[in-house]
Amino acid sequence: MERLRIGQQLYSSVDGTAVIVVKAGSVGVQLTCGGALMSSEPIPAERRATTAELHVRGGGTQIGKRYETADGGLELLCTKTGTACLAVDNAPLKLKAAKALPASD
Amino acid sequence: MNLSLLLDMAAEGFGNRTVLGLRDGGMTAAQLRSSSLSGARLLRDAGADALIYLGVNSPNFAVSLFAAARAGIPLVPLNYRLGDEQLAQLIANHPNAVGVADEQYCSRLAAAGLRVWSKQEWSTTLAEQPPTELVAPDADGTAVLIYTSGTTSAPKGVVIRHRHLLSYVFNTVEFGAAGPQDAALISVPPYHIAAVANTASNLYAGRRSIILEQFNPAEWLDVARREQATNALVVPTMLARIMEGADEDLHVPTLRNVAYGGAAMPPKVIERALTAWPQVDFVNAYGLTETSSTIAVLGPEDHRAAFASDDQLLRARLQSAGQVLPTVEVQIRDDDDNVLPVGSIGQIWVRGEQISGEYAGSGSALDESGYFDTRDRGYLDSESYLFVAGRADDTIIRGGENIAPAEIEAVLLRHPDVADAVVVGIPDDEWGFRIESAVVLRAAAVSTPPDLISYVRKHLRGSKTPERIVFWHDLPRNDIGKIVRREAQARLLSEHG
Repeated sequence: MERLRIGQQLYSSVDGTAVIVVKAGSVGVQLTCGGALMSSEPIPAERRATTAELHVRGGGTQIGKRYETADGGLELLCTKTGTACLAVDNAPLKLKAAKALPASD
Repeated sequence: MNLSLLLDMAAEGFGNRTVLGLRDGGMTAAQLRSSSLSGARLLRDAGADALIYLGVNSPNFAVSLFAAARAGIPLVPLNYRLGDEQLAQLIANHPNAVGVADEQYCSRLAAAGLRVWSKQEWSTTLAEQPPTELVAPDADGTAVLIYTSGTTSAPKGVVIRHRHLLSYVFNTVEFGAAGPQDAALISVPPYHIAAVANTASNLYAGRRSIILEQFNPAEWLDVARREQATNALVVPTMLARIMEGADEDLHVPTLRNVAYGGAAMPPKVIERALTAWPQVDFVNAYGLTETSSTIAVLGPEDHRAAFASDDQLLRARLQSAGQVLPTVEVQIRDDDDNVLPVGSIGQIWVRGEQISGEYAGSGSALDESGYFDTRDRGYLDSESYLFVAGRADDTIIRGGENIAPAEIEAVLLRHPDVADAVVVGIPDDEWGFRIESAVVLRAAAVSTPPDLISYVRKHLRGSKTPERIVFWHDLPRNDIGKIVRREAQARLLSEHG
């Protein structure tokens, strides 16, 4: 369990998925990708673990999309696409709908 | 965190999309990434600790921004319009920098002993340097160092870190959300925070940026039509000049979104623009260099609702800065740092991940709770719309009363004969300061100074009425369109004779 910080970058230990924390709560969480704990360093392909959970749900994790916990307290932005799926404390994160942001430029 | 993350994502998500330059022959995201890798290698090999960019905006700016980011050194865009002495002082702050400059400015950097490439040389050299993968450093580094415009004092270097820009982009832009036909026309100078923020935002959105190196209204309209621009970023004086054209010349059928900021927008200009371009979404973006650009936005629906309203309070929102971004907190404080209630005018303080508030050489200007003093005065209305009343430093203290020149200027600007106006305080033995104004009249206007003085008196208290109004051909404004009050003051003083 660890408390995530905004701006923290995390990498999947089972595939190429990478994320950055956009919103974080104050409680420690267990963040997994494809069922395995994520790492703070990118893991080269040859050193990745295999897991049966990789293709449990369709869609994987898509670059540029946001994934959040049910209460919205934790939000991750995917910075590299992967086939594995994100979960926090074993609950899968849901895709956050892209809404019109107050963009000025 | 490093700004390169945005470019890596763009290259992965839409590498073949043209993101810079003209429809034909522009640079794709993948090409921009390659160029930036080549540039980063060059910068690393040169052992530079900063990359100075001295020249007009161009596609080289984005390449320079991302090359510096990848190399882990700050980009320092300098204002080429500065006087020799002032520019030399800024350059002297970076003895170990290298530079990319317009041909005619190369000598200024060379004179300081810096290695400099002209833009042409930079392009050629990059094309010859094979792009090799380079991991961008991940420390809490500086992405850009931007010197404030210094309209009231010597320029200070604002430290914009990678995390500030990334926070701003991730919180306000959806990745790749732009359509492949989208194109943004950019005419703001590269040494302004808006250019940096806009470059990053457009890239992340997948929106092609067309850079107009020097603004003139005819060329702006021509390029907008030819390149089928859908978006544009302007400062108010640019929009004012565009709107001086006849209706039939203003036709830009592809234009859908115009964002403006950098200085106060004269009401008549935005009203004309709303009338001339009903299909365009207007966005007022309020922010400072120290806040990594935009912290409050008055959106398209707010513009339309205010413009269409007969309700005075709703209509007034057209002059507001809108509401702060969801990731920004705002407080209006008095001079003793007490938070004031809704409706009270005070100093605008803000807090948020994107806010730097840090100056080179003097560190963080954030208070203990992380708030930054914008040094703008203003207030919040009951629905959290932020109204900016002007710089605190511009306040005229007349007979113990604090007077915001912007309030008087706003009244003058509403007069049909007035094209532009500035109000300043002039030292006075009796009052401390008295109020004087310089006005630019519209062509064929017949108002006299006494006419305008009584016009102001009708709308504001007597103490806020200028004692003297003179007519000038133009006002001293800097290249972002901000009034240089110091100059107006000096000129008014000298005209007393």
